[in-house]
Amino acid sequence: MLKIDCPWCGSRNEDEFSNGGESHLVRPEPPTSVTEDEWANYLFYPTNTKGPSKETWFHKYGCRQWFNVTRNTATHEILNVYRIGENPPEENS
Amino acid sequence: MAGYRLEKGGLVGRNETVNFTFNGRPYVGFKGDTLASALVANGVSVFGRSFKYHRSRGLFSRGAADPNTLMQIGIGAQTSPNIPATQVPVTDGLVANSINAWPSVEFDIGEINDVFKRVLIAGFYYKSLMWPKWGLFEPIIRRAAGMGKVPKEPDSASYEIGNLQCDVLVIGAGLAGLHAAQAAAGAGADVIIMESDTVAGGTSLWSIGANANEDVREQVKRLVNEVHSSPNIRMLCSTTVVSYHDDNYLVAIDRNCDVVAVDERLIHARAGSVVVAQGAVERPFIFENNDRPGVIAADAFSELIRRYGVAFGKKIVIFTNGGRADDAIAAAHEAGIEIVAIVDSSDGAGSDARNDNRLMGHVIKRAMGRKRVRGVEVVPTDGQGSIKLACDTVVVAAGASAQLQLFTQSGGKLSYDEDSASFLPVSSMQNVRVCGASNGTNTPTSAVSDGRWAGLDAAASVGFGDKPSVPDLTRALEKPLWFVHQSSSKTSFVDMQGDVTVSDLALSLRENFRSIEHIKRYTTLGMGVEQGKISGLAAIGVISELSGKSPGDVGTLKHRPPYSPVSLGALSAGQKRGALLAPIKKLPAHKWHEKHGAVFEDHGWMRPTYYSMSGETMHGAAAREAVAVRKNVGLFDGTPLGKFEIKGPDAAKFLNYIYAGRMDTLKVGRIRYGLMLNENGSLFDDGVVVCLSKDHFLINASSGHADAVYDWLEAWHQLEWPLDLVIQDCTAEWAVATVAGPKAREVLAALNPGFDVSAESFPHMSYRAGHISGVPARVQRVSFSGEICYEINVSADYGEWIMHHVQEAGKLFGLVPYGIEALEILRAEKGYIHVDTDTDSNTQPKDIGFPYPSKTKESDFIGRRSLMRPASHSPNRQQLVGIATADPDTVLEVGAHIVTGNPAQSIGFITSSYMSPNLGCSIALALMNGGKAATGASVDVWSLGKTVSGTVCDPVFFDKERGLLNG
Repeated sequence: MLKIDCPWCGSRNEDEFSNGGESHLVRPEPPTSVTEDEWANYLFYPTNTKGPSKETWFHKYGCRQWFNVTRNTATHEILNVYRIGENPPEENS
Repeated sequence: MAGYRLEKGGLVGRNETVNFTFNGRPYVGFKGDTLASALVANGVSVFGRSFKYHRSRGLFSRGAADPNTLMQIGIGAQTSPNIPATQVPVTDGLVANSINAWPSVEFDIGEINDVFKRVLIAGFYYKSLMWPKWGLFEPIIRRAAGMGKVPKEPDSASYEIGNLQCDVLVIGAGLAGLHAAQAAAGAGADVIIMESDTVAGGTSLWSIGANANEDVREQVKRLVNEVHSSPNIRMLCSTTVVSYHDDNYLVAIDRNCDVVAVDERLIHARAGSVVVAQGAVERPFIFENNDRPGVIAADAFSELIRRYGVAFGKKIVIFTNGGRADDAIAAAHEAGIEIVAIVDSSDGAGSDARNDNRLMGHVIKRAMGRKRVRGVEVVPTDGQGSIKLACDTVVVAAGASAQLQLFTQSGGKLSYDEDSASFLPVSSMQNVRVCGASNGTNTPTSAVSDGRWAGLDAAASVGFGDKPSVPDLTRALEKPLWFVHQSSSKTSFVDMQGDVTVSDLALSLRENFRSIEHIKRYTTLGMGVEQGKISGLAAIGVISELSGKSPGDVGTLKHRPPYSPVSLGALSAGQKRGALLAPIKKLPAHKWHEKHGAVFEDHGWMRPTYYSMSGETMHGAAAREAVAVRKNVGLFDGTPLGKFEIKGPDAAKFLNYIYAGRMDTLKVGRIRYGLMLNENGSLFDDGVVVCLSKDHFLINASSGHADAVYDWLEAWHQLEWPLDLVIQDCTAEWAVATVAGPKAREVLAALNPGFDVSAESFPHMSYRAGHISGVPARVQRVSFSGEICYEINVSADYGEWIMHHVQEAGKLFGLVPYGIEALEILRAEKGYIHVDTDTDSNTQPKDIGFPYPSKTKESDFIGRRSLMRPASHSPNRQQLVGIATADPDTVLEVGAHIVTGNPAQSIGFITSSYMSPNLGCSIALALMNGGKAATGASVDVWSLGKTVSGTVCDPVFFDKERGLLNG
């Protein structure tokens, strides 16, 4: 049971949240000029990192806000949490 | 000869007797006894029968590790299966029974299996499942292979759930754990210590090392008292940690609740750091008949004498490997038990000369006797000849198995240490450390310094005190004897509970199983209640020798929760049972539905399936209701429909992204049907969009999808298009009375909503706000039946009132209430789909007749790019069609396949199918490869074992011209 530090509500148990997959995914557009490869890459090829992975999480049974989490997928350790639209903490400095 | 109570000694309350029964016979024990110690004191040798071969089994180990003394505890609703007698404190009135024994533990018919061992080998199930007549054997084998009985009555015990938090959680209150707790608390940390035994102290209460000395015991007692009285340590005895999860989240069961009328409490604990100090247990020596009653582990033997004042036998042979049995030897001397011989597999080189009757360089080849050991055959490790010794007990000291299950559950890694012949913790994934015998220490001094280090280090890791330096520890040097090669491997048991022998492991290796995890599953090794606590390392050793790999290369078994058995009742603690398991959502008009004979089904909400009149069947009622709607008018409760309001300057722009169709051209007061797609271009949901004002929209989602749609809207708004708008879920705010049928307009007019209801001013797909008897009402003219239809939305507080009110107004027009089943018939007659019923994860708009994207829509929308892929234009896609059966009375089964060719290939399947009471024939919707182009073709449908002929047709069966809808 991960302990997740929601940037709006503070530290809460994992079962209040749901994982939304990798974050900072850029949705290619406009559709008329997006190639088949670009679209397939967006849809079907997540990086699937072993180690620190940037993910979106949704505080479904809380504030219903989405936010970013950097989580080590090998150890489940949560390295940092930041809001949507913000840069990952290590890139701020 | 069996066990007996010693004249003196032990920590039991000799003045307080306790009466209990075992297998129907009354016995007396003392307060402080376990069921196991009390039975041994009463001379009981055979505790139960083994799982597969039904061999007699007696006490072998202690605590959670004992494989042989599983009991059925209690009777009736309160009974619990598979609890080791070593973990059951005796109490007055306790009722215990052996498991696996029929008709009795003394005479068990299943023992015949022992003779057929050659058949019941490893992988028996996998091999025999291939027999053509497995069904003949299955019931017999299942009955014979039972492990206790589950009560038939509802559980009458009460359970509670609690949450705890602390800086440092210590698992195990032995010498190391107590010192760890004290050290952490001394540094200022808030500490919880959990001990699965009824009392704190661990093995120090009775195992006093080689230097037998009252002082150690007194020291431990003092330490326990200090820990008990420490203000920042909470000590929970009878509390077993059963699982270890991410971020130091642990689950424990407290069986000694201080709350009145609670039998067990489930504890969820979150700790800053964790100290594992679970100790170690002695593992078995593996020789022929090493499972016979009378063979006991050295630690269990000592505990019986010093803790319970019970001798396990009168004449003992000790089987050891160097100095391991010294404590048991001392205990036997204290109790005045005759030691016939000490069989020592080590050659004695380098050890102190011992003046006891020791047979150096010898091993026990086999034990004799069936229900109790009568003697042993001893052979030299190298050389010929054998000696037979008469005895009633064999005490074995083969080596320690450190208890690291919870540590490995936490993600911790182990590594094999050749010197101590054991797996030791090397790295942890979480904030956890291991100390004491779990960490391989073998002296009280080492346990104390390791415990203090662990406590200080744990406290320092969460900000209390300084990080201590790592102490020097002593560990026993072992040259393990993994199994006795001179013994017959067929009755040399590695896992006594699973009846897994050396020959089973050898067979699995011969059959080319290599991974220890595969061998485990093939042989059922360590898969019982014991979970490899003593059999795990024993098996790794045997496999190591048989395969010629080092134990480190064989590897360890992955341990999974729970550490020891947990009652299902405890897991459902917090009243998560029966009607309280999940909340029941009732419609505001639930009582009104009940009054009208509604038969409910749970669709997330309890919804009327149909209204039963004078004993109608569901089909009868639904047909009557569906006919009444088309003939006159019907009333349906549409309250669960998903309702979301989108408001803000960018609302229309946002909806253009969300829906495949255009929403920015929707005029105020008008309604448009829309499809939501996912990024693959497949249907996610459908529903109507109502334009309330230029910047304010109301959207409807399928009842069953309402929650998912709400999350979907939030996700796209927050993550992709942070436009200026708000999304509000108002699903439960509004009750919806749906009035449908040719006379629906008359009913609405009779309700006098305060606006013109004529077809000209209130056409299909439009919206009006008004009042019905002063109650604000939002009325949508939309239809899921193909009839004139109004969805009257009022505040949920008026949900029951509006149903009653509409019914009254409809009396003149023959209005009847209709349920889900009639609704399904009506919508299927019109070819209206249910997303996920009539579509699957591949279905795109074009496949159901919506050729999106439209030429005029320029903006992007979810899934738009996917609709442009060549595959989306293939004429062979599965498309929605109707199927008309040749025989109008044959109703196809949902899921039946449309087949072609020989051998038959599926080219589609039926998604919805009903007998249409309005058309007098069966109707079906289907998804079919290239279905649109196949309209008019004859097809075969394979339905419930029969081939049914039919014709592909338009999915709209009723009122194709839409004259009724727009009337």
